[in-house]
Amino acid sequence: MSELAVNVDGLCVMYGSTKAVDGLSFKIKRGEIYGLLGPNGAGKSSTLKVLAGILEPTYGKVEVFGKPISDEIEVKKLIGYVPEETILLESLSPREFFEFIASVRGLDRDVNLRLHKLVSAFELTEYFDTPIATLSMGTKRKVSVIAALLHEPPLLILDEPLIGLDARSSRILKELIVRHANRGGAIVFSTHIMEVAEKICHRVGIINKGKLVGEGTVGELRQLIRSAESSLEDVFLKVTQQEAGIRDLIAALGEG
Amino acid sequence: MTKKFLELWKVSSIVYREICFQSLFSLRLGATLPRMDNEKIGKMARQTEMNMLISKIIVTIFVAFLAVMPLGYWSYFVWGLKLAEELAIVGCVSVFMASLFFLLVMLGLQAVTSLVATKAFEFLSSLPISRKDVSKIALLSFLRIFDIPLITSLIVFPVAFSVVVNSFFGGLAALFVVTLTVIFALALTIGLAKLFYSKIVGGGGSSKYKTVMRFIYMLIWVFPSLGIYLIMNFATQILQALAHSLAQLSAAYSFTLTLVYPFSLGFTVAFAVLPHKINPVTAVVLIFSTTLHAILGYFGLNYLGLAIKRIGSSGIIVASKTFVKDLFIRPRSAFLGLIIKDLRVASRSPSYASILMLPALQTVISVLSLLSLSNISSEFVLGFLAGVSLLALMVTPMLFSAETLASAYTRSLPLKRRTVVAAKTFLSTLTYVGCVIVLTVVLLYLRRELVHITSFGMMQAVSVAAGCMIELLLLVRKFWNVKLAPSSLYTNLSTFIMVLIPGIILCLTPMLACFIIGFSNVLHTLAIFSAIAFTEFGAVAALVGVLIKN
Repeated sequence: MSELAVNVDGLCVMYGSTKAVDGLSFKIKRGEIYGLLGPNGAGKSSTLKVLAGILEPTYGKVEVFGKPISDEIEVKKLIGYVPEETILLESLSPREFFEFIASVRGLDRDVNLRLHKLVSAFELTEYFDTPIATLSMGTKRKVSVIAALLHEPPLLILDEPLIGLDARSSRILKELIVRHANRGGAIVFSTHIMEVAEKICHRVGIINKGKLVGEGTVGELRQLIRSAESSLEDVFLKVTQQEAGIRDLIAALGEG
Repeated sequence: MTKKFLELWKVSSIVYREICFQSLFSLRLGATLPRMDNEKIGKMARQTEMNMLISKIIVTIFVAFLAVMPLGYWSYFVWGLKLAEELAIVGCVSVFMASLFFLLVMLGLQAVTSLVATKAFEFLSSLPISRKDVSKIALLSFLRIFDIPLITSLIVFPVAFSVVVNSFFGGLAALFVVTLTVIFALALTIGLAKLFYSKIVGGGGSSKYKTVMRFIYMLIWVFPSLGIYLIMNFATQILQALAHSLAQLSAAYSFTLTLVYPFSLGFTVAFAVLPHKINPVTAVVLIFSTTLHAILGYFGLNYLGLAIKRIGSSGIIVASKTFVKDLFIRPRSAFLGLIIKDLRVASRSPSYASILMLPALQTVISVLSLLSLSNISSEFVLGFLAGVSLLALMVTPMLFSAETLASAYTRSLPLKRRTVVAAKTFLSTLTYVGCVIVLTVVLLYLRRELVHITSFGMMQAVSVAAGCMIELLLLVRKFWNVKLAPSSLYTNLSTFIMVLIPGIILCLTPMLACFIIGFSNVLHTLAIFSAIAFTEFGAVAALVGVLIKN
């Protein structure tokens, strides 16, 4: 299998006349955790949907472990995807949902060992036979995360995976992400939580208006804005040109 | 008072449009689905409203027909059967009440599924509006879903009735009983749906009890369809039987009927038109019965508002922690996994479940017809096969659309489209084959001739599979390839019809050939029938192979 987990070159996604992703290029190696940051509507989710095979790129080359994204079935076998908004098959229970996922992914009964560990870790046991429609947002997210991890995919695509998760589950997921990378897997995830990105990502890509405006380790990004003391949030605001005027705006909100 | 009602009515229009939009297209920006530009969304919103209007007009024509139909029998009752006028009124009113009741339960079923899916009233509860007003808005929004058919039922029948019986009070009384029937039908639908979602869908456990209960509920959802079907197909027989029974009514029997819906409402109207023809004791019971119905109607209306609000804000489905005996799952092949998933999803939504049960309904009706037939004609065989085939064709789009928004998630799985087509074709065809087997068993039990049904029925399965496959080919190409959620095809009539037509043509072609050739040489006809069916199947399978790449 290719050492390069993800290769995105000149990706462009259009919705009618609206350009959501505009010539995006980045690479992710095996064993790497790549964070995708950007303001709302920057094109993060669209990029991840292309990688997950939900959305077709308008232009550009996208490869996963050397396979072109057009090789749909083969690529999807290598991927575990957690969507931003958790819309699953709501009338099924987690047991039935995992059964369906395992069937489609061609897993055998050995999957039960892994499933048992994941369900226990995310404290889903008592909801295992409860319809997904009735679960809280956080619990649905746990179902979605377990479904993505069930087949031990070499590439994890996580769109805002920590939203809705409680502190315990959030910690477990972060730990799983790190271990997955240590075992040679690759992870690409989007987040708005700068601290998380700063703490666990090997490299970060910042997108603004569909374009990559900064990429590298947090250290490299600090150099980009010529400030060794800056946090990732400062870097983010600077490269996405959102910093200017933000103090005046906050001051104005405080008046009156 | 009026100003406040107008305000609530205005708010309900916003909620109603949202229900239409979400239930018809299941589009939510920012969801797993790809986003769309404003122009496309605007076009879809307009198309949604047009589709909804077309659906309403179709239902309205149906309601108007049902309203006029029993009155057409007025002369038959009065002049043909020489039935007393008051009993003719009871007959006409009761038949319309029963038809309207079943029709509204059927419509309510579709609407209530949309409410649960869209969670349309969730946002209202967070606004500074009193709970009572939120309930009223919920009720008004719900009523807007079938406003034109409802208004038609409230106008056509009372007006037509008052003209036929030449009584203004009769018209008013008819308006009163139609209103009560509307409330009863909707309250029953909502009550059953609430019970279904809270007790059967919601809560924990995956026991066999729940599976059995779900099956029973599927049968309940089919009940209104069966009612409408029987009234439409056996209207003359029903009216004749009713007229004969009414003509021979004993005092005690008549007394009991004044308390039993829908006859009670028929007697109420008869009393309003011809008070002098009702004996004093019956009149007293009738006043009591009418008051009781009015009180029930009042409580029904209040219940409707509250229950609809709860259903539309997901207040009825609450997660409960349960004892889980194991964490074991049983993975199957992708094909079987898809079929099991489809069956589970379809059986847990009232509207989908009712469509899934339609072929079975046709079989029940055919068995009933069979009992009154001395010999099984080729017309009966072709009629049965055509009916069940067409209903099986309706199952396919339902199976495709049942996933709604979650279809975007399914698309992230390594699932071959050909497997999707094969699994859904198999399941749809299975509903057809099951019906042929049931009818064969019944014929075997009745010791009737079964060669025609069995041989032609099984060959027709090949044609049904071809029909389902062509539908799926169109659906996959329309929705999957353009990355759209299929949404509720049942309410999206134009797409639904466009998808159904090629399937219907394929299913009817072998039968049409049979009809032309005739049954004088059965083996010869069967050979041609089979050749056409297999050719269709081969051609569509080849088309799927060419047009669906994986």
